[in-house]
Amino acid sequence: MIEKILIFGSGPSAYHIAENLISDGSEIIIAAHGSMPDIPVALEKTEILNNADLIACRGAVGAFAFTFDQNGEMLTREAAYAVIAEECERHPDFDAYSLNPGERMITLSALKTLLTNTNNGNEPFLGINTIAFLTGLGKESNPVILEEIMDACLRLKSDHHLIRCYILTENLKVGGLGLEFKYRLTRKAGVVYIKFTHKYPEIRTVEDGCLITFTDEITGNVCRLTPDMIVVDERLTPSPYAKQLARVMELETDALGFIQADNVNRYIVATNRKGIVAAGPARMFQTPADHISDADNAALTIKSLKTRMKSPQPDNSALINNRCTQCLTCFRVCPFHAIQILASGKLIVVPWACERCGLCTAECPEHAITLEGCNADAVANIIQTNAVKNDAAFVPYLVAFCCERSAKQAAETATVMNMPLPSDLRIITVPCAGIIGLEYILSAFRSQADGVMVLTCHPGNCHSGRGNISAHDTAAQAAAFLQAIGFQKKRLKVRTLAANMGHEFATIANDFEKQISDLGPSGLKR
Amino acid sequence: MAHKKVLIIGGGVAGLSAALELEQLGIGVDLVEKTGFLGGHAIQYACKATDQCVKCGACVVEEKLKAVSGNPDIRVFLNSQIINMAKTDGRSAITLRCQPTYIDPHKCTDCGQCYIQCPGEGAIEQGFSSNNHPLYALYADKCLHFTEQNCHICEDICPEKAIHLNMQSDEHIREADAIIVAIGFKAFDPVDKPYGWQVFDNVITNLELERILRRQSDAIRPSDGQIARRIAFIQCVGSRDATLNHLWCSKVCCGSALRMARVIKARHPESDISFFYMDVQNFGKDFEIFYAAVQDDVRMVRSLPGDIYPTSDDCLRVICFDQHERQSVEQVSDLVVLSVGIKPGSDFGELTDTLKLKSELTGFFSVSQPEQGIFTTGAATGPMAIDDAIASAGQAVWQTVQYLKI
Ligand SMILES: Cc1cc2nc3c(=O)[nH]c(=O)nc-3n(C[C@H](O)[C@H](O)[C@H](O)COP(=O)(O)OP(=O)(O)OC[C@H]3O[C@@H](n4cnc5c(N)ncnc54)[C@H](O)[C@@H]3O)c2cc1C
Ligand code: SF4
Ligand code: SF4
Ligand code: SF4
Ligand code: SF4
Ligand code: SF4
Repeated sequence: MIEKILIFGSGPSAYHIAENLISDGSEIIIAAHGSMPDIPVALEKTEILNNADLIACRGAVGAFAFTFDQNGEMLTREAAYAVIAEECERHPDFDAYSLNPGERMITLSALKTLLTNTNNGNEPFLGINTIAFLTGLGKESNPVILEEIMDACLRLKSDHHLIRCYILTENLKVGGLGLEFKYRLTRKAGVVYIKFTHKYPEIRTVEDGCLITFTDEITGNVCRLTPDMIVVDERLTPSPYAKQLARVMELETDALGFIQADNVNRYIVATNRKGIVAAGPARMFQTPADHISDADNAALTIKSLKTRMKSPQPDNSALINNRCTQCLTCFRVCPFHAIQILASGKLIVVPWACERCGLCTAECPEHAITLEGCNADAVANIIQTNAVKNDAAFVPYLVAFCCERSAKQAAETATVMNMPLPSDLRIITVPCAGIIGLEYILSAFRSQADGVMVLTCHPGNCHSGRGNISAHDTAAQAAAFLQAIGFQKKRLKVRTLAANMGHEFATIANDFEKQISDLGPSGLKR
Repeated sequence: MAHKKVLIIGGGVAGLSAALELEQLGIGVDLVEKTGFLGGHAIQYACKATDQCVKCGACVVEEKLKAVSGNPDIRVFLNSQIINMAKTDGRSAITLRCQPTYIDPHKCTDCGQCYIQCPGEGAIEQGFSSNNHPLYALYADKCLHFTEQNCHICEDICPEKAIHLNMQSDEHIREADAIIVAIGFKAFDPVDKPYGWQVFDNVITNLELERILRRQSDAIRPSDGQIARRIAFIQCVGSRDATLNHLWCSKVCCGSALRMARVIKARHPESDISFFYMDVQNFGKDFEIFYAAVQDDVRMVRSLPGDIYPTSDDCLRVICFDQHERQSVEQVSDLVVLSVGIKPGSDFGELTDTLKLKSELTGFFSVSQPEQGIFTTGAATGPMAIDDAIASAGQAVWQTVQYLKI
């Protein structure tokens, strides 16, 4: 059994994770896109692949195979798990302020370099009396950048105390540990903060420096600043290689392209591929302390997976039977890459990686996949047997398909808190709304339901990424079909809920009961 | 792996996450919670999704609570606190004082009869989640049986005979190889601020609005039960305040307020919402997109109001200096929400003594003290959001595992 762990990255995050995993007795391989600068003692016995460019990733948790292009040669390494810890990139924001870089118009990183160089007898600040920092004007800054600016100001004040520092910003990003305190410290040290809300300062390069003109928001006076140096903040983005890794491994990314979807179900370092975790600057930019916390979480997640994989494998994952015609639909839809193609061409579900979302069962054209506890016929049967005949007065028989993580929890809260609910409501729990295929909805109507609700989690909150969207698409198809056969499509309702929405569940269900009462019994009822 | 055991103090999201992580590694857990309910602050929060999830993280707490409750490897002590710790050979013997819960969890079916019929105000409280079992907790300091010695209605009517008013407090000694401290925070008490909290019914805190939205979906005014149309959020109440020596930003209240404002506006587009602030802090991975959108829904006023006065028609007049107009402006609201900040927990001092912990100047716990086998985590170490608290718990568990050499 392979137990190795492959780490992508060559910066401080990768190093910290490597150290954690080695201390835990794991064998690791490091794949550096460039080269690992100087190899620390702790990594002396570790295989380090330099100039490794990932071109393919096969397999699932416990048995991945990563193929690299290393200086034109193909190279494959097997690993049970992988950690992506690529550092992010910094981009100067000169454009955002319509400025051109120059000797006196520099980036925050450049200033930090100047500050470290002063020790060697250099005097990079000769002739500089005033420095203005621009951060988060017309766009948002962040606490990481603000802290770097404040640290730089404190350095400037202590080592070169004659330099006046101005920080020009919109929202002062003190939402981080100790930053408000540091802000007070810098003010005490003489740093001046100028905040803008609606109108930003006008910045021009003039003959012997720059000219900043603005209206002070407190006094209303027009002010001018003539700094000798302007320091511009930087944006932090994922590196192109991190984006490539996401593409090759088919990992979800967020709006900025960082690995890991912006989805609360991926807290803290999880990706959509079990066994592959994203940590530190690969998943978002944070403070150095947060990157260490991520490295610890990555090591913990892997340790936990290792422990779990030593116990008997789960027996409730999806199963592919011999009706399969190898059309590969399931292979493509599985959000977790739990379906693997064997050398024989046969498809199997890797039980450890299957999250029971049911998307494969809903999409397989041959109905060749089964998932324990999820069977449209059995569901229809439950609905049918629970339909009560009541000749006296019409009480709508409502069926609600509820995703176990969201709507089902909301329903339980509504029930246990004694909120009024429709009198004849049957809740059908599914592990993920993705499993709700057309036949679920249609057979509910065939089995005496007067109204059917499809209740999923909110867009962006699906544990399986897009089980909810898939259910919404299915419901839209069902509605179109119902309409085509002349059936009232109002009898089908789609809503989204979160686990903590007990009250909303009750409101939705009661409104629906009223609506169906008004429509009367379903025409499909026997 | 010899059977190791860890004791966790505090059952908020940080404590719950730590318990689950340890359990997954096969480590035994004792989870000690002071109140009658697990989940801490965050189990009280509403979902703030509009047409999509806005990643407030509240539903994750539900999921954690569900995983912990009924987990046989996590032993939960409700209504309990630690009163002593003695160390021998690297193991700690921790004395717990467990106040009586009065409700037998094995018998109670959460029917709610006791809660409905109890005549004492606040004597029986309802939890927030169906994953809280028992869903009700009885507090002796408000219960008429104890305060006036004349009531035992709940004991009589409970169909399951689950209530025992004569239940006594208990002491347990639990052994542990390591301790994780996750006692969370205390919300700032705004009585001394000039905003009329607890003087005017319709001045509430952000925490109270979270609970109202969770239980009732809408911003309901306490004074008349009507849905508030004009709402003012006042930020940084008790945070970033030199006069209080609170030299920290609470980090989460900008996000909480703006997300609540947005969901209210989405449910009732006619709502008129103002946001009085100093600086807006980032929250969530897609902060810039969210912030750009919310500015269309909410009137952003960069100024903190000085005073609030009632109007004759049960509304509130908020007065502040508008920097943009450079003059004093006033605005009438149906509901004023004070975004109170995060303060160190109330048991901070006591626990520092019992466990011999170091603390920061601010009163939050400094980071873990591994040499002692004590690890601090969550909002007890400083203001943080739910995702940070989960990350922090993961880190504490990793440190614990390294300390225990597992
Ligand atoms: C109004 C408001 C809104 C917020 N909204 C959001 C949001 O939308 N999204 C977000 O990410 N974050 C939000 N937060 C932050 C969030 O509440 C915290 O991140 C989270 O609650 C921290 O969890 P915790 O477990 O560290 O602490 P807590 O939630 O405070 O839990 C601590 C637990 O420890 C128990 N305890 C205390 N002392 C003892 C003791 N001596 N012995 C035993 N047990 C003890 C407490 O009873 C409690 O159950 C918000 C905060 C506030 C104030
Ligand atoms: S979708 Fe069905 S038929 Fe197609 S490969 Fe998968 S199991 Fe086989
Ligand atoms: S149920 Fe979901 S996770 Fe499991 S194999 Fe099918 S698509 Fe993949
Ligand atoms: S808005 Fe918050 S509670 Fe609602 S689904 Fe999203 S993360 Fe969960
Ligand atoms: S009346 Fe009894 S069974 Fe019902 S909630 Fe109260 S204690 Fe539980
Ligand atoms: S998060 Fe916002 S409201 Fe809260 S203290 Fe910080 S700046 Fe003030």
